[in-house]
Amino acid sequence: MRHFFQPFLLIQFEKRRELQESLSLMQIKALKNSFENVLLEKKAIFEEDVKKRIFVEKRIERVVRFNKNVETWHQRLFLGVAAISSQPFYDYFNRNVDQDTRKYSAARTVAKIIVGTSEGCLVRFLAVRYGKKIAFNCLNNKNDVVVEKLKEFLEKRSKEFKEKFELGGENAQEYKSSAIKFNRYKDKLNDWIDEVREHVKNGGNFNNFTFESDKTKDLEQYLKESGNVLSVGAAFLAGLMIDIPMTNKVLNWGMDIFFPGHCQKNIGGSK
Amino acid sequence: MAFDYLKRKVAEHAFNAMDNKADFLKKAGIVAILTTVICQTTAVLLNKDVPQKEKKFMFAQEVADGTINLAIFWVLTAACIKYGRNLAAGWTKDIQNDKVFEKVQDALKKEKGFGRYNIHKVKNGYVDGLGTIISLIGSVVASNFISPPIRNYAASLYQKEHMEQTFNKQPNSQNSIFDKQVPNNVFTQQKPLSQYNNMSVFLNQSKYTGNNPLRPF
Repeated sequence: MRHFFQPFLLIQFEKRRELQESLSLMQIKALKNSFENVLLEKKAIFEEDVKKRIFVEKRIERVVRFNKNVETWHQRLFLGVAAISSQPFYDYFNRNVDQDTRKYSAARTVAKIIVGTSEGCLVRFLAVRYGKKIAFNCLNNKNDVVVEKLKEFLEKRSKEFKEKFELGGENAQEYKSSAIKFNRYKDKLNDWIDEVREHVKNGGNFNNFTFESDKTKDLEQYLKESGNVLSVGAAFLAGLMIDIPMTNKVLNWGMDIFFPGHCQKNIGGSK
Repeated sequence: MAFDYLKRKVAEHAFNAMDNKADFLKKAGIVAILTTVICQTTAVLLNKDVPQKEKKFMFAQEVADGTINLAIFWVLTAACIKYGRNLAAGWTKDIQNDKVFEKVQDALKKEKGFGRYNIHKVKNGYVDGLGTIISLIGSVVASNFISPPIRNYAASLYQKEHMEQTFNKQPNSQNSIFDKQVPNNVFTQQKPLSQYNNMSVFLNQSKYTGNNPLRPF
């Protein structure tokens, strides 16, 4: 076998020798450097790719975390802060109405925003906190009828999204992921109930419940969203009870301080 | 029974919110605007200090305010959700290079607070998340920068129309609607100085008639 390949090996050896003789030492060095440069360039490109990807993934992670953690009171706070920094100015410098109307209008807007934002944020914050506990306790009090109906709902939603996905269109991928999600929630619901019941049976409560296992990974998100849903209802009721009397009181108080001597019956003003 | 129904509805909405947070926040914003409208209109109706004529105007104004606010909020937020989702889908389309995946994950794990999520698993979460963020920005812009000028313009048009109907003449741009309630005969009739018992009334003459108080005669 060796004898068979020997002539070929000899030819190759001869060729290499000729090549080495033909290249000068400088040329070899130059070639080596160029190879090294190519390798270095490739390495730099790779590292740059890694850096870019780290930046992008950090951004993605922040966005995903924000989406999971944002609550209704955050939204109310954003709207309130933006409102108080813009709306009174629009009202005060509104050239379509007279000076007095502008004053009343701006004061009324400030009163509305202060009362609405502070009350709205506080009620939503408390409702989310207590809503989580309420939802946790609801899972503990296993009611078969409610659970069955909930499963039916999740199955129905999954089917709806599946049908939409099959129809196609630009949002087809979103429908697909939603269909998968609802199907997964249906399977997980029993796990959640079992975990919560077992935890409570062992003397635990909501405060010392851990959401780290695979079974309860999405439960934390579910409880948070339940709190958010409850907070919307709570804010509606609290608005009816607190906003109405408080807005007029804060307006009267603000008008007394900033525009002393105004006529009492003029309160309310107009924009 | 009613409590069971409530529990089920809360759970259903919670599942929907888990699937699509941006849509849930849009609905929450609409409920917040509706709450404000109901509260403000009720506050106007229950306020005993506001005269009947003003009450009518202010009630209509609050309803118009809420309607405009709601319409702009709804349209702009829905558009922002769609835009944000498309943007995120476009950005994540390019990230398919698995050569650097492990290296990136290792690097992120070393940094505090990062590396919890795997990009291939959270792609939909990112699409949802960007939709949520842009819809939040859109809702702030809608209800605080677009709606107030439109609302004010509509309210001023209504005010002019209302004043024309009430006083049967064009409103004076310098005087407010409340100034018109002052009896005309107090200030418009030219009287000798000796007939005024209260000097403050005389000094206020200029505000309503445009006359110089130092030269009343």
